[in-house]
Amino acid sequence: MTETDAVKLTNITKRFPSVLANDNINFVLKKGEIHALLGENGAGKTTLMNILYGLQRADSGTIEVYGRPVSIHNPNDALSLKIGMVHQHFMLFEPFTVIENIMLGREIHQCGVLDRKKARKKVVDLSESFGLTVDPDSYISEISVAMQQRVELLRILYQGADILILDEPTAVLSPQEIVEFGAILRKLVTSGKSVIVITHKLKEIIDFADRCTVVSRGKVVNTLSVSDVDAHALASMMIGHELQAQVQSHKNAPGPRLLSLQNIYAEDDRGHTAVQGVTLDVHAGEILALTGVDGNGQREIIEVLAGVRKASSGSILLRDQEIQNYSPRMLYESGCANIPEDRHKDGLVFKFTVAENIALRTYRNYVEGPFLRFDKMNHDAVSLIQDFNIYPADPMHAVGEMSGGNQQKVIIARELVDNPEFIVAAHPTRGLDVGAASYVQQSLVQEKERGAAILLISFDLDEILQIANRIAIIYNGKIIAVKSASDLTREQLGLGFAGIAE
Amino acid sequence: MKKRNLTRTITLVSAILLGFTAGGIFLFFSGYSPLRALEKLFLGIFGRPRYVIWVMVRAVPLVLTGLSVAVAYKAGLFNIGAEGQFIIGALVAALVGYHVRLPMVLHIPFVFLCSMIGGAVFGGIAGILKARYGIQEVISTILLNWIALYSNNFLLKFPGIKRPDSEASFQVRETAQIDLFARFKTSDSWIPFQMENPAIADALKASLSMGVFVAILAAIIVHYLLKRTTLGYQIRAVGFNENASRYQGIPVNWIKSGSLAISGALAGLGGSLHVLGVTKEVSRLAIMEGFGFDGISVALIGASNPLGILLSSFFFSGIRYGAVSVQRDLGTPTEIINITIGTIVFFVAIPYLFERIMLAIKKRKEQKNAN
Repeated sequence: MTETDAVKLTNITKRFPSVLANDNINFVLKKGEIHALLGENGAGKTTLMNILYGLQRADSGTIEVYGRPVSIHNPNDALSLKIGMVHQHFMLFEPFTVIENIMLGREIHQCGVLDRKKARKKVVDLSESFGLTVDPDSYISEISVAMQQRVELLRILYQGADILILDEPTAVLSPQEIVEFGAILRKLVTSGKSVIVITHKLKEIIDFADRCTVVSRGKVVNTLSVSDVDAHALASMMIGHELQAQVQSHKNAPGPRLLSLQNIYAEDDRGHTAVQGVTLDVHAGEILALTGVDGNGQREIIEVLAGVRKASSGSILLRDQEIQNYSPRMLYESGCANIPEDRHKDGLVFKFTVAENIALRTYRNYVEGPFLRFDKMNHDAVSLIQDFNIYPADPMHAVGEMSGGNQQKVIIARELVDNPEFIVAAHPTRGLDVGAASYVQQSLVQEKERGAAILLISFDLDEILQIANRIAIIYNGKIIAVKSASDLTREQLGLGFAGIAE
Repeated sequence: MKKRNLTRTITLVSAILLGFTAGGIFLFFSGYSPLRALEKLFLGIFGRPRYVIWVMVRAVPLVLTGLSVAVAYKAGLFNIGAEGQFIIGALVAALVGYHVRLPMVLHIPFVFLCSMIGGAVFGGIAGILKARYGIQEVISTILLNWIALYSNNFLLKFPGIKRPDSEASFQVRETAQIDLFARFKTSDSWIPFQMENPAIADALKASLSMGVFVAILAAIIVHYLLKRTTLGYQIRAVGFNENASRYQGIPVNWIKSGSLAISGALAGLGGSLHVLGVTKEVSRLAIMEGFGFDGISVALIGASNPLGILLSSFFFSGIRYGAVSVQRDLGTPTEIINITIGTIVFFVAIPYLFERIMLAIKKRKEQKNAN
């Protein structure tokens, strides 16, 4: 035991009713390092960090902080040990300003009156010393997600945290923002902080972590120095077997034009024109990736193509037939499928079973008089569950209790079962672990090879470059470039994200 | 799933116990014995066969308004308008029951049908306002309740509708009345029957009507509607996740309006059963009678489940009816029973609190075990 260990977890075991989430886990965070905690969804990494942060209690095992055995019952105990955590879903108050959010719970006051000046100075000092530039007086509702993340970081620093736990910090960031984020982390550790990053993105680990602990099925597979490994080795450790060869996407010659967006305009929820004259053709047998920084009109295009948002002008042709402002059902019946960007909100009914969710589109096939043949519905679901490797393999299981990857598979099964001609796939692998993500990509490639036209909306550059035939970059509601995927480099894409196309 | 049902049951039982405790405390401080009151309450419900029948008869409108609230709730809507839909159903029943002449086998179903259509139209108005213009159903149904109340009072001003020298409508014709054994009880064989079968005769003294059976049937139908039919599947999908339903092509607006119409039809049927079986007429209403509002509590206690609603209406009607005995024998104020019911509803409505407390207890136990 030396003073260089910030945190030492020994033999941590945590059992939930149905699963052993942590099985004798040993984990050491050295002082001043960025330590990545890598694992698939459900591998037990979040549970382990919740134990360290006092949100859950281990069944057995010990925790030492700076060499001292401690017991952490709640987040307040953790904070007094200078441990702070930023959750995947931010916990900020939108109607409050940045400063107000940061000082919340640790208000500096004089006789009950807030001393904003002092608090402000402290926040500005912190943000300058770590490169966490934010406008302290804007309201949370007005700033971007990346800025909100900085506010979360500032908040735990303001609270005096030395040991930072960050849960999936890059999931919400664009590629450019991820690079900046890496720089911020580096600054934090050089000033003596220690950082644990929970993630399943391999590339980022290689880019900015010092060491990495791989967790699989509740056990530590290995802890190693990042300089000693490559992404491929990490991936196979993480999923416990050799990763299948990368998803192969033959750059086959695309067929005839299948879907055509012509000069589409659409408004966002606030009535601003978010899509400003988008024209795009998608051919049979190709994957066209539509990419760009989030919030440049992608969502509105997705919703127009799903039939849940009206385009204000322009036309959409499917096989030269006008389908603009078709209802979702008419779109489905004319051969369109839609993998929505938000599984929770738009994709699934969490309280329904797997079978009921798969039937959301096709339930009319089971109508018999006024009744619905739930037995037939379950029967059909069983074979889809097998085809799409959905776990648990039970048509009666509630979808809300499944892992993100399996939830996504339920959606994919529902959307692809009828061999659609045109598929909109919005961020289909977001939040999925490597295994599930590559499965989803594989399915899309298969659909493409079958002859479907696919519009993939994503800002995961690896994914785009791997499976797309052509790439369209959207910026400010306009398409600024459409290029063949083989003609584009990551750097060019990055510039495109910033609105610069040569 | 099973565990959740268990917690729910525990929550419900604790809520009921707490409600009774609160009522008991009030009784105690007003100088009455809570235990004697409880005993009287129990005897007032189960003391004689006819009490039980009366409780069932009085539960009928609550079953229907409870089902009404539950169907809307499954579609994610809060129907406060069961009260108004009930009034409309009752009014239609009184009018059709008197002004239309049909043989009994046709007259009764015809009255039911008309009341249900009346209630459905009235509920459907709120549905269309919601679906087309996004007007909150909570607001619109509250306002529609007043429109129903005053329409009732207004129509009862007209000769032809208003029975002369009264504040009420004409009584529905005999062909539309649904009480059972009414003729038997005035026949010659009634007196010897009473001597021979005192228990059954006592039960029959309560005016048992077909309403009880219709209410049970309605609960069974609603159960199948929600669990087995296409419409039920659509209603539940919309109620659980409106966005996903819209994305998948379920006609969300139609389903919402439709479920409010069904909701209205059920409450309307409730009004019809009440008129044909109990009151035989409708009268000018100075205030809302509260059948629809009680329906909200009934649905809440019954967890919006048709079987649960049957039980909770019996419970609800039981303590209301039993309270009369308590009041008669001990001289307690009626407010006490309303405090009790209010407390029960209050605690059922915040199961969240119970779950929190249970979680805290569990945590403390875990910690004890760990140390």
